[in-house]
Amino acid sequence: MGEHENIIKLLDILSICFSFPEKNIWTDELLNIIDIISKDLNIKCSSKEYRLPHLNDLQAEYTRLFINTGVDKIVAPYASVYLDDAGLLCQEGLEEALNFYKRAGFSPLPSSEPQDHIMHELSFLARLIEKDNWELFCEFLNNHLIKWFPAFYTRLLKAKPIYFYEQVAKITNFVLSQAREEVCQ
Amino acid sequence: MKRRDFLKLSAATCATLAGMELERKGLFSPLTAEAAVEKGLPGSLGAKEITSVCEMCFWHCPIVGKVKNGRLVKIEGNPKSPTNGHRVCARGNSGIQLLYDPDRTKYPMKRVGPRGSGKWTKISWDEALDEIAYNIQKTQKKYGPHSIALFDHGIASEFYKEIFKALGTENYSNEPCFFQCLGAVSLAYAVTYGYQVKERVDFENAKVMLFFGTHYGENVEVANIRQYIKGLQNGAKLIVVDPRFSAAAGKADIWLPIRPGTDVALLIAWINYVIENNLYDKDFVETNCYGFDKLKKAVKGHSLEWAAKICDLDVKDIKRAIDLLVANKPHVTIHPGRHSAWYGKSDVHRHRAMAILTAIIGAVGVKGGLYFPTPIHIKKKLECFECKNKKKVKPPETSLRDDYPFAYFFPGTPTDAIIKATITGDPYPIKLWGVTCVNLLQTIADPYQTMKAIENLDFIFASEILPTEPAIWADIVLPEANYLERYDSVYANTDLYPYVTVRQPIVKPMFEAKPPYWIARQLAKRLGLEMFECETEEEYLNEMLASINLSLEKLNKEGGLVTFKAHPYKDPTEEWELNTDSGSIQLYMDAFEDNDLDPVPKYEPIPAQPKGYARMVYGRSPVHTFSRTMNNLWLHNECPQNMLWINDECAKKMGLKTGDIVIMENQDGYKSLPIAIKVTPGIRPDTVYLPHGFGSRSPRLTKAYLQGASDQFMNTYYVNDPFFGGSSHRTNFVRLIKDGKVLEFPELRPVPPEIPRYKIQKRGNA
Repeated sequence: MGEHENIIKLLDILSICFSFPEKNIWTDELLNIIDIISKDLNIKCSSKEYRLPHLNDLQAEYTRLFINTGVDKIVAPYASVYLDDAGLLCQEGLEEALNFYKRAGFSPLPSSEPQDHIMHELSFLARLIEKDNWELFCEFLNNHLIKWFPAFYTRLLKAKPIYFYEQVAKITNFVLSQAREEVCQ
Repeated sequence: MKRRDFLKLSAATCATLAGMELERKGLFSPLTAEAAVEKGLPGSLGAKEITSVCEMCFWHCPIVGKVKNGRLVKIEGNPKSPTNGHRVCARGNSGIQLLYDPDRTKYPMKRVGPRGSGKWTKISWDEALDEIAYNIQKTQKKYGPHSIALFDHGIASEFYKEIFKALGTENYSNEPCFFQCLGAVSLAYAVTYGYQVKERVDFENAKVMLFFGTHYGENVEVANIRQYIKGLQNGAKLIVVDPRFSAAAGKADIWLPIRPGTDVALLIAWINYVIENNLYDKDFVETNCYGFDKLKKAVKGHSLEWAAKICDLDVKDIKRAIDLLVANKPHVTIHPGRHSAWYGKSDVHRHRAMAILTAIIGAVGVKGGLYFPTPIHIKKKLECFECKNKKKVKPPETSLRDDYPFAYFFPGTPTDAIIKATITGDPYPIKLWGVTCVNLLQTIADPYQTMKAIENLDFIFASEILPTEPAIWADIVLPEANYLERYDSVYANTDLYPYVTVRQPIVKPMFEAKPPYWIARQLAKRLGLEMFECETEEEYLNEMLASINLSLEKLNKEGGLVTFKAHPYKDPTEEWELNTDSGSIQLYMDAFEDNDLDPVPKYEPIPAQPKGYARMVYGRSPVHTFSRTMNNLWLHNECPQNMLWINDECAKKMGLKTGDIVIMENQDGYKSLPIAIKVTPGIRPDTVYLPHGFGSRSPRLTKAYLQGASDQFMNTYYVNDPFFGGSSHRTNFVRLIKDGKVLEFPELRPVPPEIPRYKIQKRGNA
C-alpha cells in the first residue's frame, strides 16, 4: 500500500472536499493542499482566486452547488441522477455502486447521503487501491464512475463554482482521466 | 493496465501530503453480513410489500408500497380497500417521483441572503430548532402571546398546531383549506344538517345527480369517481350547472352554462318552484325540517323566468332540470361541492340553498341521496399530545375572529385577517409565522399582499417537503419527511364502505428529513412545553388503535386495513335528533338572523365583468393536486402547463386561435406569465377558465418553475365572506395582451340592469 499512499490520500482528500464542509472535518490545511496540488498539476481556473475562504462561505457555496437544485443548475453529486433517464435519486446508479462495494467486500458506513454520492465513489477508489484490487478499480471507473462523472463535472463548471470548488472539480477530473489513461486502458 | 503510479506529483507536494492527518478516512467498513443487493425477479416482482396511506392529494387512498433493496419501486392500491382496491390514480402512482426528486428539501437550511433571494446554507437540526424556539420566545416576549401565527394544512400539521395552541396564540390552525377553500360548504351543511356532510352522496343509487361546478373527471378521487361512474352506468341522469363544459358536463343530460355569480338565484327559484307546485316531500319536511313556512315566505316570488334572466339560461332548460330532479325524488344527489370560496358574500347562501333543496325533496339519509357517516370510535384525545404546562393567555382585547360571527366553527383564525394584521399591526402586531405543508402564495387570495406581509415579519419558518414558494421566503426551512417516509395517524373512513387503516413508513426518510412528530417534539422541548410524551409514533398509534381493539401489529396482519359495516341511511318517517340548533334540519337559521345575516339564502348580485374583461374561473387538472405536484416528473410530463380556455366566438372576434400565447392582465393591472390559449365553444363568452396550481415562482422547482400561469397571481381583488371570513377567488377579471397589444373581450352576452358592473379602482397599482 505504501507506494500508493499519496494517491490514496489525495482521493480521500477529494472525497472530503465533496462532502459538506463541517467544522469537525474541515481544516485550512485542506484548502492549502488543494491549492498546492492544483498548482503542481498545472490546473487553470477561471473563477477569481482567493485564499482561505471563510468556512461559512464554503458552506453556503456547497449548499448552493450540491444540495439545493435550481432551474439554472442541477449539480446533484449522485450517480443515479445522471444514469437514470428521469434524473431521479436512488435508482439504478445507486444499485450499481452498491453492487461494486459489495463485490469489493465493503459496506458503506451509515450516511445521510445516498451512497452513490461522489464522495463515496472517490473514497471507494481509494479503498480499492488500498486492497490492491486494480481490476475492480478499473471496472468501477470504466463501467460506472466515468459514465456519469463527465456530466456532473460539466454541470458543476457551468454553475460557476467559487475558486476552491473549481479547483476540486478540475483536480478530480484530472485524476480520473489520468487513472483511465495510465492504468485502465 | 499500464502503471499504477499514474499521478506524478512533485516531491514537495508528496511531502505535504505525507505530513497530513485526515480527520475522516474512508466511508466504508468491511462487509460483514450479506449485503442487501438482491438479484433475480425483474421490476416490482418479489418486492416486500408495506401498506400505508397515500398523500398525493387529500383523499388518503389506502396503498401498498413495493420495496426492493430498501428502494420503493412501485405503488399500488391496497387490495383490501373496499373503495379503491388495487387502484391508484396518476398522482398516487407518481409518489415515487416525489420521494426521489433531486429537488426535494434535504437538510435544515438557514437563509444567508436577503429574504426571498434563495441563498441558503445547510445547518444542523439543533441549530434550526434552537433558532426557531429562540425567535418564538423572543417574539412573544416583545409583542405579546398572539404575535405568532401558524399556517398549516393536513394531517402532518397537527403536531405543530398543538404547539401553537399550547403557546397561547389565537392564531393557530389557520388552515387555508377552510378560509380559502371549503369553509362555505362546511359551514352551510354543518348548520343545516348538524354533521360534516363533505362528499357523502350515494352516487351508486342515485337516479339523478346535480352538480354546481363540481367537475369529476378533472377533480379525481378514486373512490368517488368509481361510485359516480357506477351511478351513471346504473342509469342516473346528470345535470351540471357550470359556465364551462367540464368533463362532468360532457357526461351530462342537461348542461346549464350559468352566468357566473348567479347560482343562488337559480337555486332559490328552484326551491320556490318546488314549494309553489307542491313538489316537495311534505311528510319529511313536517317530521324533520325546521322553518319551512319562513323559507316559503322568503323565496316566494322568485320565478323560473326571473332566474332565467339573471342566470342567462333558457327557462325551458331550468324547468326541465328541476322537473327531472323532483320526478326522481328522494333518490337524487345534489352534490354539496367542495371548493366554495367563490364570491365571498353569497357562498354560504349558495351551499345552504343546495342543502335546503336537498332537504325539502327528502333526499337525505335515503338511497341515492345524502347519507350519514358511520361512526368509528377511535380515541383521539391522547394524553401524549396534551400540554401539561400550557401557557395561560388571555384572549386578545380585539380578536381577529371578531368580525366574523361564525369563524368559531373552524379551529383557526381567518387567514386574511392574519395577513392584514401582519401588515398593519392592527389590532395587534404579528411578527412570526410558521408555515407547514401549505403554499401560501399559490393558495391565498392576493399573493402580493401575502408577500408584503412576509416582508413585515421578524421571522418566518417553513417545514417543507419540496422547496415551494414559502421555502424561498422563509428564514429557516425544515426538511419534512414525506408521506412515504413517516407515520402520521389512524385513518378512519366513515363513508359508505367504512374502514380503518394507518399511514406507516414504506422507506426510511432520506437525507436528514424528519417526520413531523419528531420535529414538533424537539421544538416543544426547546420551548419548555411538556407534551408529546410518546417516544415514537408507534406508541400513540397503538393507543388510538387499542380503542377499537386493534394494534399496529394486528392491523398489519390484516393487510393494513380492516372494514366495518356501514349505517348510512335513516328512516325518514321517524323524527331524527340532529346536532343542529333545533335538532331538525335547519331550513331557517335563527342564529344567522341574530347576527344580522340572512336566515334563508338570499340572492344578492355579484358585480359582473367590466367592459372588455372576462371573469376568470379555475378548476382542477386531473393529474395534479393544487400546486403541489407540478414538479413531479411523471405528472409534469402528462400536463406540464395549463391552458387558458376562451370562448370560440370571442376568440374569433379577438383574432385568437388555439396555441396562441397571451398574457392576462387583471382589473388591477397585474399581469400573468405567458399562457397558451385553448379556443372552445365549451365556455361562456364572459368567462375564461384556467386550471389551478401552475406558474410556480420557485426557481428551485426545476420542472415547475414558470410553467404555465397562476390563477392565484391574478386574484388580487377578493371579498370576505361575512359569516367566517373566507376570501373569494372568482371575483377577478382579465383581458389579454398579445404581442404587446391589449385585446378586449367583446360582450356577446349582455348583462341585465339588475347586475351591477365591477368598477375598476386600482388600475396601475401592479
